[in-house]
Amino acid sequence: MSNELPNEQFEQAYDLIAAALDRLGPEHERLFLARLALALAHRLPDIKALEQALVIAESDVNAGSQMK
Amino acid sequence: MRPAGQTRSLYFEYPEYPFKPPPELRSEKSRHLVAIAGAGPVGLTAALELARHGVPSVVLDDKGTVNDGSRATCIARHSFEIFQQLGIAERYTAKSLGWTHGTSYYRTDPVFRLEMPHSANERFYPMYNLQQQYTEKFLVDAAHARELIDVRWHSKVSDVQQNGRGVTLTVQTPEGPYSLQADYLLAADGARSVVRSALNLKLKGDAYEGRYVIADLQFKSDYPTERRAFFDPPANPGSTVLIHRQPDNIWRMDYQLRDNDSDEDALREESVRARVGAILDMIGERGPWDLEWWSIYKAYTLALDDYRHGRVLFLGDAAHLVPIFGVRGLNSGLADAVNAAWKLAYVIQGWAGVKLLDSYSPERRGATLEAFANAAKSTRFMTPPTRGYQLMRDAALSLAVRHDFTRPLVNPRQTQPYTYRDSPLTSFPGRDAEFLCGPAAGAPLVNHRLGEDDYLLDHLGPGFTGLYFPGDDAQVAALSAVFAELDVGHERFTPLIIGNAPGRLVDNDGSFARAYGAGPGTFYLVRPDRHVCARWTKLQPVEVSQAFRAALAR
Repeated sequence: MSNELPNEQFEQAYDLIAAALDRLGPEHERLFLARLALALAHRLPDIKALEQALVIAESDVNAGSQMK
Repeated sequence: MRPAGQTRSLYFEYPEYPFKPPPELRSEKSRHLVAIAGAGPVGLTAALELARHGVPSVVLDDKGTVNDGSRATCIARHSFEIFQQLGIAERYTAKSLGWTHGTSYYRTDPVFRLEMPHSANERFYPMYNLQQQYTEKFLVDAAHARELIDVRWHSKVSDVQQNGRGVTLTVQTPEGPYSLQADYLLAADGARSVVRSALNLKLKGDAYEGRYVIADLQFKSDYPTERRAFFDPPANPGSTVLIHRQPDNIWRMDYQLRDNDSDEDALREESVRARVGAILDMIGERGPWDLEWWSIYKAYTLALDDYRHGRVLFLGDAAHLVPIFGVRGLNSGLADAVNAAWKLAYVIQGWAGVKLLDSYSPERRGATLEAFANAAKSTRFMTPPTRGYQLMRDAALSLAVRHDFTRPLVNPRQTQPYTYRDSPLTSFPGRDAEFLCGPAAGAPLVNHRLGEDDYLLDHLGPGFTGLYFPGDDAQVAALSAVFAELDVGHERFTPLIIGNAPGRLVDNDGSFARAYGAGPGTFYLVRPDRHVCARWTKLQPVEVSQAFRAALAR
C-alpha cells in the first residue's frame, strides 16, 4: 500500500486510540470503535482501500476472540 | 529466594570476601581522593576506569560477597566494549552466551522476529547473557588485582556529609564505626542508595502496572540463545513471559503476575514451581529441571533531577531506575561509571577544568530520559496499564500473526548506546551533514574489524585518540604539530593513521573508510570513553584544537 503512515506516527496513532478508549470507558467502547471505523472510511480515497482493510481486520479474528 | 533447604547455589560458588580493618580504625589519619559507595558492577567499573587513568579509590560495600541471582543478565555490546577498554573482556566472552535474535509470540503464533544490528565487522555480539554474579565476580577479581583500588567489604556507609572541600562518610564495620574523608564520592549504592537518602534527595518519575517474578532454573536443552517473549501464552493466560538462556544450563524466566496474585502467594515456592512447570511444558521442555533462585520485580521510570550534587556523583540505580525489558539498567549504569570516572580522573589529575564534571549529569541524564521514552512504550506493550491499551495491544498482536504493519509495535526496543550530541563536550555537530555515514559527533566509535582478531578499539590509547584517513604522506608529516597539542598529562594522544604503511592501521578492503564515511583528509577526534568529540571530512587544525579544549572544559 502507498500513503502508509510513517512508523513514528503509527505508534502515535496506537497511543491516541488507546487514550480515547480509556477516556470514554468500557460502556462506549463498541460504539466508539464503529464510529472511528466510519470516520476513517470516510477519509479513504476509494472503497477498495476499505475492502482491503476489512480483509486484514477479519483475518485471524479468532486469535483475538478472547479479548477482554 | 531459594528453594527450602537449598542454601547453596546449584552452579555458582559465592565467594566470601573478608573484612580487613582499615587504617582509620587504628585512628590513623588518611584522606582519599575518591570514595565509591557500592562494590556492585557500577561502582567497580568506576574504580577500574579511575585506575586506568592513574587515580586511586576506596570502594565500600556492606556485603562480603556478590549479589544473589541472575538479575541483570543481558549485557549489551557497548558494555563489552567498556570491559575491553578495562582489559577484562576475555573473561566475559569466555563465559557468557552471545546472541543476535529473538522471537515474540502471541498465544502460540510467532508475530515478531527481533534482529539486533550485527555484522561480521563487529568484535562483539549485540547482546550477551551472563548471570549478574559472574559479571560482579570478574569485576571484583580485576579490582582486587589493582593496587590503586582498595575494596572494603563488610563496610556499610551510614551517613554522608559534604562541604566545599570534601566529603565525610560514616562507615559501619564489624569492628565498629569510623569516619572516612575523601575529595569526591561516587554513589553507586543501588536502588536503595543510602547516599541519596543522606543527602535528602528523591528519585522522581512513574511506576508502571504489572509485577513480574524472575526465576532461574537449571535444565539441559539445545534451544539456541535468543530472546523469547510470549504474550498471553496458554501457560500464563493474560500475562507476558520472557525466557533467556544463560551459561551453566541456567535458564532465566520472567513471568508477569495477574492482578489477583498477591506478592506473598506469588513468591511461595510451590507457586513458582507450578507456574514455571506450566511454561516449560508449553515450550516443550519436558525433562527434569531444578529451581535455583527467584525474586519479584516491578517496573519504574525514576531518576534524580541532577546526577551531581557538589562533590557527590550518582551512578547507576542510585541515580535512575528503568524497566528491565529494554535491558538498560546495568548497561546504562556501566556507561555512567565510565563517564563519571574518566572526567573525575582528569579533574583530579589537573588535566581538565573542574567544569568537566558539569557535563556528567546532562550527558548521562540525557541517556536516562531517552531510555525512559523507549521504556515507557515497551513497558506499556509488555504490560498494558489500562483497558484501552490492553485492547489495542491485543489488536496489534493478533494482526501481527499475518501482517507486517503492526510488527514494529512488538519490537522490544532494546538498549542502544546514547549519542552525546548536545553535550558541551561535543563540537561542530553541524559537520555531520558532510558525512554519508560513520559515528556522529557525540556517538561512540564503531569497533570496526581491521583483520584477524584485530579491531579498532584494540588500538585506542588511554587518553584522547584521533582517526586520520590521510590523502598523502605530506599531509601526515604536517600534522605532527597539531597532534603534539593533544597529549594530556602523561596520557599521550594516540594518532591512528589509516593506510598501508608500517605503523598504520591497515584497511585492506577499504571497508573501514567506507563505514566511517571517510575520504582523503578525514579526521575523528575521540574522547577517552570512545565517544566522538567532533569529526571533519577534511581535518581543520584550528577546529581540532577548539574541540579538544571543549572536551576538557578548558
